[in-house]
Amino acid sequence: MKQKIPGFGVTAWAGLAFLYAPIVILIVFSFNSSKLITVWEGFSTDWYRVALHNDDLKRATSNSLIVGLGAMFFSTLIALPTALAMHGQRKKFPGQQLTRHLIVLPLLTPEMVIAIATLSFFTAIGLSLDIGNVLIAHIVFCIAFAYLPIRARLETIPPSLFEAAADLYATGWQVFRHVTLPLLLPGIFSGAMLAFITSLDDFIITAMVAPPGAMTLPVYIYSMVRRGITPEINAVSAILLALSMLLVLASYLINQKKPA
Amino acid sequence: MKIRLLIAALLLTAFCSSTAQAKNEKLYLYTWDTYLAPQLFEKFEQETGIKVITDIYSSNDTLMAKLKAGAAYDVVVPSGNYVPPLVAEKLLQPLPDGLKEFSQGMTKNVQKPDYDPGYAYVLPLFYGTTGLAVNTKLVNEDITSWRQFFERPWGEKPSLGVLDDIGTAMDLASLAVKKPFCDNSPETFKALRALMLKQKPFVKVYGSTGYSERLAANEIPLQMAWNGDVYKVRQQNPRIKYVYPQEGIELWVDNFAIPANAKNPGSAKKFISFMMQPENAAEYSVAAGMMPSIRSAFDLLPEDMKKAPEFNIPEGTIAPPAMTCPAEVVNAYSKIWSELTR
Repeated sequence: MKQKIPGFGVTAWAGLAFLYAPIVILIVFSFNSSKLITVWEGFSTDWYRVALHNDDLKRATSNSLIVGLGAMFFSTLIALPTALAMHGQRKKFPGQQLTRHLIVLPLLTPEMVIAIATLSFFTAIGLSLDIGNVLIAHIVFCIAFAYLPIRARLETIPPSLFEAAADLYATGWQVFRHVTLPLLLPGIFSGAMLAFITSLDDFIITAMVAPPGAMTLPVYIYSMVRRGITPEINAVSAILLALSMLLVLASYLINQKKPA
Repeated sequence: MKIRLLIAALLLTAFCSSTAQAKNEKLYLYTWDTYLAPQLFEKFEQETGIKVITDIYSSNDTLMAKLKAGAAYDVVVPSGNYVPPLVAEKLLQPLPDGLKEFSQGMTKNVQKPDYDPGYAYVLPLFYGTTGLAVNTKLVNEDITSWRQFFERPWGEKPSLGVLDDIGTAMDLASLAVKKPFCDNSPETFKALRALMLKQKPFVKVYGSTGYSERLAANEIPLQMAWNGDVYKVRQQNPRIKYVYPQEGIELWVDNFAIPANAKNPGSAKKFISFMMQPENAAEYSVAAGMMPSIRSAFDLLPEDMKKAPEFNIPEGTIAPPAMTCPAEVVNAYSKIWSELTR
């Protein structure tokens, strides 16, 4: 019963072109030898060299990576037990339904609201941990992103596996160590990746919360824009894009492994 | 195993950054995106051992918001018209003794600025003008008046570039209708509104971002522009000319200031003194492509900068300084502006 919709292919390709042409142009112009991003002058990798020698850019990048990796690690660490607790295997606890919604609330709340709330909270308690402030803010909103893939994965695991393990006198820890964790690994990994990418991408919260010297890459690039966008920005964006794509690819490959 | 490695890596980065902090003094500079001079900052570090950490902003409002949120920068660079509100909000601390002396070497355009005549809170760093950039490849007529920018002949295609800085755009429109800046009178508002609405069909872009690129790429024949940007664009496209219309131009000044909750005010003082030395001020001017406030620094500039029309305000040019308008005027301006950009 395969039905062919006329014009489907053309529409799909047009859609893809519409989505990806700007990115392709961005990458092409990162190899432009001209100072302008709109006029092509010739091929050169100079802008990559300029970008790699820009200390401020390097600092912003390392800030982004520190925050991104930190937020990825801690938010996954919090999201994993949360997902296990929320999953129906255990006894229900009072307010479970409410908690379920609360966890994903950051996904639904406008980012600006979180940003202002976080900023005023940090100011109120006088928290000043330099880049730690940004890290904490990121961990909080990354938890939801790390949590969702883990929970989704958890739901695909048949409960009979846990029951079988329990039947064979496995302790709670053993069940977790030898059954739950290996099966959950792809979910944990994609959760972690999602948290990392979300943290790397974040602009609004970081721009509001960042104390002196803790600017991340997106905030830095944004502040640079008025000076005129040189292909240096393109080069940095291309590097960042390559990095993100590698991560997405890795997460995809790992998720290909179906549960046994 | 992997997780253990990750923890180790995290701890290591935390450790490294904390030891680096302990080693030397730091100065947190929050400045305009165009005011970075890594080599000069490095020279300062070699002389004083103080490392300059820079964050950048591209609007005074961003700076103000960040300071209000309590960010502890040591040195900031607000424009003159933002100094009174910053002082009123108690976001700046008075300049320490030993910095005011530099005010004696200031060039006449920034002497006793009306936003802080006694140099109590700020010290001028760079100054510049907002005028009109003309692409002589695309424009044949001789542009001498703002009228030629605001009132285009009927039937012409939209081609003008207007900066989307409301205060600046309104200042220049005020010049065109021969009214003072921030004039709080209904007739002036009416005249400004009429002028700008009449210009609207001929405007291609209301925007400050990327206008240099559009100028350089011969996309815009007439563009409201900042002198420093035009100087840089002219290096790429010699057909661009900076014009001082007969009604005048807007003068603005960017200043060094020390925020009220700066953590290293001592380093801040050292930094500002360093930057006020004529040879350093000149080097900074070259890096930023701006006019130094220090008179003797101008003489140390390279010839092409000293002679550049962008950096030499012709004798007798009307050049009133940009101001912070009272709230009613700001509201009236915003109303006109929203009609334009709707």
